[in-house]
Amino acid sequence: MGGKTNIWQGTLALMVLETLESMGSLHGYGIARRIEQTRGGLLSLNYGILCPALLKLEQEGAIVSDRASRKITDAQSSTS
Amino acid sequence: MRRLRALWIRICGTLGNKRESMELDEELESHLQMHIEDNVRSGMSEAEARRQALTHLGGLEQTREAYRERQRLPGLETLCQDVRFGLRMLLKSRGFTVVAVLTLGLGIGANTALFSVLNAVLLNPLPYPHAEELVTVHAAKQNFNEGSISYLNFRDWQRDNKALAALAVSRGTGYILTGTGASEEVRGELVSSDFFPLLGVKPVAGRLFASHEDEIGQEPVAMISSGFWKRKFGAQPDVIGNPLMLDGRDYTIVGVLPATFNLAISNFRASDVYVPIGQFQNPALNDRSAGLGIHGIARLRPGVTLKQAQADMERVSRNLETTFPAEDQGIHAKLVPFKESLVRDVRPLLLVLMGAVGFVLLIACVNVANLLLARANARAQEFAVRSALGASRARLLRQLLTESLTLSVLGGVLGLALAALGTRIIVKMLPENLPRETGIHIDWLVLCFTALISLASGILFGFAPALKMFKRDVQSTLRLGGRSIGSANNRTQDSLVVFQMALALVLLIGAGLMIRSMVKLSNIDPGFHSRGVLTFGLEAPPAMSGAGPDAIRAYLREAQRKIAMTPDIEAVCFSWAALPMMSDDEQSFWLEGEPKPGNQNAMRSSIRYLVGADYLRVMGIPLLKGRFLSEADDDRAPRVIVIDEVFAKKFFGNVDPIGKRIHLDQFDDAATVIGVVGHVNQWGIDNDAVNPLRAETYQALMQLPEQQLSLVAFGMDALARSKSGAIPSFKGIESSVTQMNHEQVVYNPEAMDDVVSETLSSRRFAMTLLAVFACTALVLAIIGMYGVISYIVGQRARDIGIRMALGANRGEVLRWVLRRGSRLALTGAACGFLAALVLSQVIAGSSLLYGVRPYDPWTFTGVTALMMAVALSACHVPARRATRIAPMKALRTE
Repeated sequence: MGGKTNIWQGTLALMVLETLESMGSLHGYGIARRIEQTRGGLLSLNYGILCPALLKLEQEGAIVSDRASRKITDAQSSTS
Repeated sequence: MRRLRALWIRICGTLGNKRESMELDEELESHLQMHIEDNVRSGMSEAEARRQALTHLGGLEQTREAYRERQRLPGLETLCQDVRFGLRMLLKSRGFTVVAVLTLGLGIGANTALFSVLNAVLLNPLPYPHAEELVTVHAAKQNFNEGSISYLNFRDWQRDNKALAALAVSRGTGYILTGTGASEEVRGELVSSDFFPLLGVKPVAGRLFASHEDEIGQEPVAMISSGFWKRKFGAQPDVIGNPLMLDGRDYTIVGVLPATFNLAISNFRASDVYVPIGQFQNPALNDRSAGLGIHGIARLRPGVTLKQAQADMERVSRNLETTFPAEDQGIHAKLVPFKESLVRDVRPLLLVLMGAVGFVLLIACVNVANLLLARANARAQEFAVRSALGASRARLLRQLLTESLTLSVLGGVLGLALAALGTRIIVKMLPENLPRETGIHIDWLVLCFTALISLASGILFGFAPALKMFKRDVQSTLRLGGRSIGSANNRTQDSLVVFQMALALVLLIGAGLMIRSMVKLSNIDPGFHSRGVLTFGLEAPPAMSGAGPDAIRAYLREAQRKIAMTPDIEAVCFSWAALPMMSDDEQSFWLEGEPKPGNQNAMRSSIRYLVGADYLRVMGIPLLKGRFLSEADDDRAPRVIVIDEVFAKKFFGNVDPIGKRIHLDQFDDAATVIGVVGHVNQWGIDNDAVNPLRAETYQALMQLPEQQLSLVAFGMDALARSKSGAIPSFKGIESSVTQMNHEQVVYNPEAMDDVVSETLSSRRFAMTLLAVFACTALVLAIIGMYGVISYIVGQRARDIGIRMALGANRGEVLRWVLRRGSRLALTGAACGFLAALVLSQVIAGSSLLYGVRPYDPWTFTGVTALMMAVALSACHVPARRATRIAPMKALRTE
């Protein structure tokens, strides 16, 4: 599955965490838009890539989800 | 940690519910809506906005797929699916499953059980810190490779060596305990102070012996075992400092050893009480030439190798040889690693058995592989369809292997249950010389072993059918439409059966050789009649300790008379020194006319029995010439000696030995030979013939010098023969003895029959297990043979039908099937025969055989014939079935 993305493994996770830390709780769509914006439109992030990445972060306990919006966990924000 | 957490959630996701997919759908939907709204806001038409959003999303189904793969573990999911499918298939054909699981269970169970023995005995590390540095120490001398060390030599070795961190000695003994409840015999060990510190043993109460406490003339102190502490003192901590009366002397208890301390090495056995070696009440303790049954243990200095240590001890021994030529000539220290001295006797036996049991598992695997092959033919259709629908070879192989692994895991579980049972049976059967039997149980290493062999066998028997499956052409299989492929050759199956037969024959020959050895051994005459003879220990009351020689002789006569009056006792005799197959002792001597040798080691030696007049009657040893010792041969009569036939032949040749005189070491007057008796197998039935020390002498107990006679009362052996031929009742003897004096004790009763059979116990153990394994192997191989022949008959039913329709008679069909079977059996037997020729050399190398050559023609031909007969009768059943095929029916079903 990792082979389908053009983004380095782990880079996407960092971008997501960075976004969530600066913006607070966000919807998945919001995260995607924000990442595209901050990269000045150089990156087109389709949801098929973002969605499993978000799930991975959630499984690892880095973020928590509440229905469709996500926010960073305490442990993660204090270490990052 | 985070990875683990994610993995755990994914495993849960795989096994858990499907609720999440609803949430995903909702989220995707809202995501899409937001995107469309954004697009509309930026000026697109509704339709364009939707189209753009959908493109950007990158495919709904792919997203779902990616999400699902992340949510769960795809590999695990397929595995679960395959296992579930496999289990369903196994449930569908119950007969096959039961046979396969039972076969595997037997094979794996036998392996696990034996491995748990092997693990406890050979592999487990000894429970001592740096156990690899521990060695046992002996004195190598003329007749004893690992003889006992004299106390004075021990002190010199201890002082002069540079390679050992510590050297300690021990010697087993027995005491009468009085003043603490009823008087009883307790097992004791005399040890030097370094014994426990060297092993790293710490006391649970009190202290160990202090460094000079073990010297001669120190205050009597004692340590006790935890068991003894509990039994006698209720584990009271204030027992330290209390007196303990042993053999009428007061010892102060200074410490208690931990309950975990349970060492049994060379002559040392864990005991009730431990006393410093300097307390040994034997005047010969200060005699440099007297070994007295003392053996040592030592710890090498860190970094010193065994070879270096041995060389250093050699230097010390050589120095002593020059300083004390009379006593120490030819005496050398010998070091043997702990592990080696524990396992060297049983290692070959266990390895041979492990090999045998491995063969059994192989045969079991081959059997299951054969069953699977037959099934694979039946399932060819199923797999052809799957592969036509796009399943890759890897996927199919994976499923087949999952199925066979499921089988093997089931077999492994059953095997573990059987092993738990089998281990218990094996522990009961274990010969006494197998060390550390208490440690035999199923631990994690055994579990790993079971898991490993289960999986390995699963892969082993799973691969053959899987590979065969792929050789098939999908199209032609589909076209055949599920009918069996009669033309497919059975070469794989045939060679598997041949392989099985060969393995089984090897095992059968091995077992046959062992059984022949055992038969040979049981026909050997030990030289005495053990039936109806009981041996036991007797200790005089502590009051006798200071008595003079006349009082002791009077006591011995009285005790013998009292015991002889016990009902059903025909004869009683006391013995000191050696007893056949139980204890040994030697007598140094020189013949009359020879100059007196300069030292003890230059003298001739023989086994020494010190007995009473009734010894021949009790033991049933034949008198060949002259007379035996009599009651009249006592301290007032001239010194006499009786020799055995081996002695007579070795030292007197054809000359009549009666009247010849022998000078015995440590006696001033020469002894006159008065009689010749039959030879007794001192060293056990199987080892006597090869022992260098075989000449035997008998001396009268009553003619012992005063110094030694005083020791006799502290523990001698007694032998009693019953009138009826039954084992004499120990209870009866005990009551006769206590009637005479309640402070004297009898202990350790042992039927002579048991003693004799004990010397063969490890052979019997190996033989029984090998025979059981060989029979299992034979049964499995025969089942395999039967299965394959039945399968062939089933496949060739139409063929046979046509032949019969064309006029073949039943006899011809029968012969055809039998020829097929016997060809397999013969090929297998030929391979097995050759393999057995090679492998029986291994058994021969392990000294498990006795009186049988490793290529014993009788065993080889007999066993091969037996196996052929059994194999052919196994073929006969399907062959008969073939003759009953009705031609019309066979033709119609096709």
